[in-house]
Amino acid sequence: MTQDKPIVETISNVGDQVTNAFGQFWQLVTSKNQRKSGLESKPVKIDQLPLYAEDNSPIAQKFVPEEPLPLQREFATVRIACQEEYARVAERFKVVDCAMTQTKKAANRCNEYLTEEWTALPKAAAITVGGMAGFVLGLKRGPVGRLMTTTIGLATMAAFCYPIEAVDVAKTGRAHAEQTWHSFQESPTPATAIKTNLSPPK
Amino acid sequence: MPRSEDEVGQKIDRCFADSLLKVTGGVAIGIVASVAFFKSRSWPIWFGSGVGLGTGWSNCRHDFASPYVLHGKKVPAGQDTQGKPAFNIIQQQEK
Repeated sequence: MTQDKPIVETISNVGDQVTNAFGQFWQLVTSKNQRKSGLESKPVKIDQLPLYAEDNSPIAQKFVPEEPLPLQREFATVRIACQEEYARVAERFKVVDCAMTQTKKAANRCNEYLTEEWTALPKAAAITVGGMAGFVLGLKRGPVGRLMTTTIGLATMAAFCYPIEAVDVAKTGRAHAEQTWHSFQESPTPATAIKTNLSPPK
Repeated sequence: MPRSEDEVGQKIDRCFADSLLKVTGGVAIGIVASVAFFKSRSWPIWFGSGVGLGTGWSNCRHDFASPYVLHGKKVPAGQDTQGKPAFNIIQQQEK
């Protein structure tokens, strides 16, 4: 429960507020008078305001391109020669051109994916570190144990990095296990065996 | 008007030349540092060449990422890049 303020404090607060209000009022009144007097003393038209002065005409400038770097012309010669040779080869062997185009396309797509999905590389690094940690932990075990700990490390970090996919995989695995268990419990009734009569005809 | 292939080609040339310059500079500094400070060990040379290669790579990336960048200087008309007047003084031949 809150206690009421003592009456003396309340009265003194009200007194302070009133004094502040009077002070503000007086300040406003005096400042208005000052501003008015300042404006009236020097009236200026809008086009005479000292804004956007364009007295100084901009200095005429020109663009001087940089000199080519040392060996740049030699590189150009080699590049043009290579391009011409490649064009000759690509004209003769279509397979080479096709393979180059496909490789370029794949590299571009890979680059775009890695640029847009910037989390892919850190995730891959984290999963690798997880696998390495598992491998180090399993060093004292045999080859099977090492493989197991490495797999567990990789899987754990992958589950952390891709949680939605991990839940999906877990749900699918559980559904498959349940289905297998049910089919195991309800084993199918064996088909009626057809008796083959091997006895010689009578 | 230059073809776009030629412009890209010029950028590639510039990239290679710039990277080569920087790698060479890095290797030179690495050799000097290796001899002077590190008892002729080889790692400063590798370090210098790596720094040069990385600088060249970064410059190339910037160059290709901003296609309208121009390499040059803006100078006041009538001056060359060193700020000297662009006219030649020819002595008048006496007749």
